[in-house]
Amino acid sequence: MFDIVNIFLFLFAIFFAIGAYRLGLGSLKSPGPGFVIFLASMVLLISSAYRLLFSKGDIPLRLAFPRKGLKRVLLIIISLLLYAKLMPVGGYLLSTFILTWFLLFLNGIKIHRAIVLSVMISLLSWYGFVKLGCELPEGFVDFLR
Amino acid sequence: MGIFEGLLFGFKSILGDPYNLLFCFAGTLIGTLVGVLPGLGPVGAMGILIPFTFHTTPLQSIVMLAGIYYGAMYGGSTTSILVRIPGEAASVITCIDGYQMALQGRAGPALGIAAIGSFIAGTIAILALTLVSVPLASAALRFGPPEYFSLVCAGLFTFAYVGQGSTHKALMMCLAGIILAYIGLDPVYGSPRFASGIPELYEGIGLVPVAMGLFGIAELLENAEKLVEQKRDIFSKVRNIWPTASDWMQAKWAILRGSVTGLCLGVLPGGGAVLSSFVSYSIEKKVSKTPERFGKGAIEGVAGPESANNSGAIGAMIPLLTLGIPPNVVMAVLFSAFLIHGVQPGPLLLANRPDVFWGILASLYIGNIMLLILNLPLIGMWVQILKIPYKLLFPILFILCLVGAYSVNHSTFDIYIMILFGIFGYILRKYDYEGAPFILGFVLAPLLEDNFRQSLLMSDGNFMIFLSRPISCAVLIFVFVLVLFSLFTFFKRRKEEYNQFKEKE
Repeated sequence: MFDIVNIFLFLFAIFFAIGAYRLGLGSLKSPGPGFVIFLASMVLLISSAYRLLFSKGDIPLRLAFPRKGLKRVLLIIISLLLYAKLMPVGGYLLSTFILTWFLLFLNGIKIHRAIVLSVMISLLSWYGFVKLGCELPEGFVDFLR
Repeated sequence: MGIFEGLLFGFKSILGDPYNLLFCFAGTLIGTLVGVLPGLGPVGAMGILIPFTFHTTPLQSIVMLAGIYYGAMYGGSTTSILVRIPGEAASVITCIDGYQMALQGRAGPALGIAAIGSFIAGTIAILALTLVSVPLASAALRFGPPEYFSLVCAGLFTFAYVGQGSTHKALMMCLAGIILAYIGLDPVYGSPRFASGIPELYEGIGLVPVAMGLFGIAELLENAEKLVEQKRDIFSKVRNIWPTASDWMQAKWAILRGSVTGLCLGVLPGGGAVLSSFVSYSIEKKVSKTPERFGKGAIEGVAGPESANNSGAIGAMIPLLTLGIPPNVVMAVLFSAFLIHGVQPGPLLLANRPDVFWGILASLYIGNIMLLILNLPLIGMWVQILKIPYKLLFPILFILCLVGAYSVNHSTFDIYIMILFGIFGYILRKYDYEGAPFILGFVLAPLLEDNFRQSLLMSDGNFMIFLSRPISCAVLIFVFVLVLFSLFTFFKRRKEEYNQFKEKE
């Protein structure tokens, strides 16, 4: 039973407090670049330390992240990261088609139906974004422009 | 320029340019859609659309983004009443009596009173905003760095205190937001802070990817976890939208009380639409001679909260437009939209950009009328939109977030930042930490640091400057009282828990 957010905030505060000290605290007459960050980090450090020491903790890890749902969430996160990696190389249309198809498939839509829907979503969204003045990476399908 | 001349000037700038009118309409339309569709709130929608307003004028951009916010308040009631799924947080309470009315075959009057109540409350709030903003902005011109520092502190602390969850957790989130906002170049020395040699970080972390991650991606990930298409019972046949005379008699005072409650709470940091609707519901239940009807389809239980969330949404604009301090997370996103367009909201807005200031006020009057038209005769269209399966909307919402983040700087770095904050937001939700104080801290951090450092420079490092000036001192005393009060409640609760534990033993 432990609060992982609180542990993260505790480590986060230590990291930024040390970093701010290294940046330079300056003086009260002329506060340095690390002054306010150091103050905020110290208050956060004390707050999170208090919770670590005296709080009972909130939700057990296995209840907070049920295995079945977590698998789906992890798959989506990986697909989003791959999308960000693929978009500059493959262009908007291709990467959006793959991501949309995957997300539809993950939601239980049949493969062939998901393909048709993702082609439609990719093309219509591309048209809409271009009309809104958005510059999207073209990749190797720039002949469509 | 007097209030009347100013308003006339504002109406001329909105009605004189068809594009301004079009952006006002687009904002209210998108806002209603956002309110109707569960899964995307006004913060996420505004964050997604900010990059698409880069090519527009500041007035058009702000008018559209503000329209999304108050439009979502109108739209949120539709799903609450017809499906018992709140389109956004401020309509959660409407589910209780709104859905019961629908079950009794009175979905029409419930939707009608929600829309008309919202219109009346919106109009009252806009009138108050018009009358209060000019004198308040003039008074705020006398504020210096110490006053601003104290006001920002008060805003952040009140926000954490009034918020829905634990004050301690909210304060920690606020501090984390403040610290992360300082990544980038130091405004005085120009030296990089925590940029780790990454060129994209020299300008700091952008608000748009952070807000979209915390509110958009995190919400979608949470929905994905339990994504089983729920069979929704939608009341698609809505008849007799106009409430009867007896409905009016029952709802008229609830609308007025809701309007005043929403306006007062909207101005407060941490207030806004969500808190207003909850407080209004409990007031209605308390003042009612027949409180047992609540939860079984009482029309006051729809009229009060729906009026309150609309006046709360507009009331929240008062501190933003006059003091330059956003009181809630939606206003924080709007605040960043102002800055992106090179306009500084606050007391100088009226003097420097009267076209924007009066244009926004005029657009609120016009947008409110547009929303009444969009929500009453077009209710059938919104019901049809509700029938779109969520599993189809789900990838579209992801694409909107991804492209929205990319469009800010045409860089995939912002997409990574958004995904990172999406994961962070998803974990925060699991442990009952709120994202809103984080965003508010993130947005207000530069204002806090600048005014703090300037105050110390002014006073040669003497902290007494914050207490020697009357306004700053009064605000800090208010913060001190709040701190004492929250500590008192905290220790009282701990003592009760300890006593319960001892009794069990």
